[in-house]
Amino acid sequence: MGVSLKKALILGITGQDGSYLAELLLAKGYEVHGLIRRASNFNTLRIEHLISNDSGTKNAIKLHYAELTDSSRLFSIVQKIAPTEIYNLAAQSHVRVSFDEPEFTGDTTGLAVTRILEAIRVTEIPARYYQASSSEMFGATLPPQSESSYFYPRSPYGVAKLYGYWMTRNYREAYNLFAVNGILFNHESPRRGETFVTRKITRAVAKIALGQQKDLVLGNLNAIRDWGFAPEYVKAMWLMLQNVQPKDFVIATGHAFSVKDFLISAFESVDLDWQDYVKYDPRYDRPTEVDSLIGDSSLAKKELGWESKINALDLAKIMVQADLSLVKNPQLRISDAVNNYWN
Amino acid sequence: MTIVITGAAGQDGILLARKLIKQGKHVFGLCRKTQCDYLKKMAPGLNVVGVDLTDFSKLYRILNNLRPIKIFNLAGYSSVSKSWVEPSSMSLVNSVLPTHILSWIVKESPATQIIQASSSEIFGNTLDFPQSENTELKPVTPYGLAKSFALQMTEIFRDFSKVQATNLILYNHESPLRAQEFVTRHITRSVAKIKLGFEDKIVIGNISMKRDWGWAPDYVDGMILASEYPKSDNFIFATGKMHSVEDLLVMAFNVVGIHEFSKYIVESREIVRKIDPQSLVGNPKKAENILGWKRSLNLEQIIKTMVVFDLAELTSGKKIEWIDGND
Repeated sequence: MGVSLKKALILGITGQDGSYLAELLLAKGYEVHGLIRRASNFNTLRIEHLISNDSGTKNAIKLHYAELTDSSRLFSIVQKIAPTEIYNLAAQSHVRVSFDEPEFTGDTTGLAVTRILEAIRVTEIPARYYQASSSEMFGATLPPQSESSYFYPRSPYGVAKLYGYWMTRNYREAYNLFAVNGILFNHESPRRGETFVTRKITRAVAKIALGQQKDLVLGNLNAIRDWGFAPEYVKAMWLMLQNVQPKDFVIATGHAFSVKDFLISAFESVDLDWQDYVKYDPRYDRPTEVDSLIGDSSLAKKELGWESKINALDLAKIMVQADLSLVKNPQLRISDAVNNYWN
Repeated sequence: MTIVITGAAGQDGILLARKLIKQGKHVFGLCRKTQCDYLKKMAPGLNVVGVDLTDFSKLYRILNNLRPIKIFNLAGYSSVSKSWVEPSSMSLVNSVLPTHILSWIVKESPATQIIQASSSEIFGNTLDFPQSENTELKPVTPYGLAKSFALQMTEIFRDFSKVQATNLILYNHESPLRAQEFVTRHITRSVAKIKLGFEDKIVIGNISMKRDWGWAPDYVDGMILASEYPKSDNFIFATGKMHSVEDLLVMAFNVVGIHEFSKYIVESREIVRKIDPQSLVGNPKKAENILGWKRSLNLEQIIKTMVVFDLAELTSGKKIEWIDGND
C-alpha cells in the first residue's frame, strides 16, 4: 500500500511514437494500456514484442478496441482504466493524404482531442494529458519557430492539429486540467511508415544497394525540415507530464537540413551517388508546401533538461542500416532491426 | 465493367478477389490504408484502394471515379462478441455504410448492382429450424441487429427504388484465412500448438453452442452465382447441418491423433457472451435449386485442412499465405 501505480493510456500505440513510448514506460514500471482498431488482419507489427502471449508475459501492454470517432467508447475506456497519464498520439498523420481526406482527418486528428478531453473532464479522473501537436501548425511562419511563434497551417492536417492544440490549452485554462501540448518537429526512426519521405528514401537506398530496386522517385527535394530521432522525442513527451507546471513545449533539434541533404547522407552510407538513382515527379508535391520548419527548443532545454543528440545526417545512416537488415531478412521483427534504446 | 469489393482484406474479400481476377474481371478492392500492403500480397492483380469506409464523402468520390457495375459489400465489423464492446462503431460500418452505398446507387448510378453480405445472426433466438429465407428476423446481439437493419434497408431500396440488390444470408464459413479470434480457427490453432508442445491448454467459452459451419471458398462461389442471377433476391448459404463447439474439438484433436483431450480444455465464463443464439442452422435448398450452388468440403475436411495448415505454419515459424488448392 501507499505506492501509487503509474498507469498510462496510449492512443496511437501501433504507430512509430506509440511503440517507442510503450517501451519507455514499461521500462519505467508503468502499467501500459493502448487502443487499437479491430481488423481482420491487425497492424500490430511495431508492438508485437510487447503483446502478451497466452502464458502471460509480465512486461506486456494491455490492448483495448476503440475508434477515435466513438466518443461513448472513449468515455467508458477512460472510466474503466482510470489512467494517471494519457498520451494522444493517434491521428490520420500523413500530411499529403490529408488533402485527399480532409473530413476524415478533421474527425480523427482534430475532433478526437475534444472527445478525450471531455472524457477526462466528465469522469473527473485525475489523468495528465499529453497532446501530440505538430510543427505543421506553423506552416508558412518564418523559422525558427518557438512556443510563441505565430501559427499558419498549410494543410488540412496542420489545421486539424491546431484545433487540437487550442482545445488542449482551453481545457487547461477553463477546467484546470493538467493538459499539455508537445509541439514536435519531424522525428523519424526505422519504425517510420514507408510512405513518409525519410523512410521511403532509406528503404529505397537499402534495396538499391542490395540490387532489388533501380531508382527512387521523389517530389520536392528543396523542402527544409528539422528532423530528429523518435526515441529521443518520446522521452520529451514523458518529461512534459512529469513537469510541475502544465506547459507547452517545442521539441526539435534546431538544425535545418533539406530532403537533398538527407538523400546524400543515406546514399553515402552505402557508397553510392544519389544523382545516379533519384528522379523527380511533381505528383509527390503537396498542393501547398511548407518551405522551412526549424524549431527552437531552448525552453525544453531550460525547463525539462531535454536536448536532442542525433542529427538528420546520422539519422539517415541509422535508418539505412536498419533497412538493410530488414530487406536482407524479411522475417526480422521491425523492433529487432535496431537496438533497444532504453537499456 | 468494374467490380468493387469492400472489406477486401478480410477472408471472403481475398477469396472473392482471387476468383474474380481469375475470371478476368476488372476488380477494385477497398480496405483500410494499414491493410493495403497485406491485401496486395494476398490478392495479386487486385487494384487496391485505401480508404476508411466511415469516411463517406471519400467513399462517394471513389465510387464516382470507379463507376462500378457491381459492388460486393463485404465490409463489416465482423466479431459478434466485440459488437457488445463497440456498438456505435460497429453500427456505423454494418448498418450506415450499406445505406450510403444504396443511396449512392440511387443518386449516381441506378444500373449498379449491390450484393450485400448478411449473416445468420439476424435469426438470433428463432424457434424455426432450419431457418429459411422466410424465417422471421429475431436478432439478439448488436451485430445481428445491425445486419438485420442492412438486410431490410437493402430490401426497401430494392422494392421502392428499383435497385438491383441481392442479400446473401451467410452462415459461418471458415478457412485458414479466418482470423484467430473466431472459434474454429482458435481451436485449430490451439490444437496445432498443443500437438507441437507450444501450449498445454485451450480456453473455450460455450462448448455446447451449435452452429452451421461451411467452407469459405464454397460460399464465395455462392456470392458470384447470386450476383450473376438476373433477379434480385435473398439467398441463404449454409450446409443444413448443425454441430457443437465440442464436435469441433473432437474433429480437431482427431487430426493430430489425440483422442483423450479433456485435460487440455479450460472452460472460461469470461469469454461466454452475454446473450448468444444457442443454435443456428440454415436451409440451403433455395440457393441449390435456383443458383445450382454446390459445396465441396464437409466440416471434418474443413477442420482437417485448417489444422494441417496451422501445423505447417507453426513449424515453419513464419507467416504462410494460404491458397485454396482447388483454385
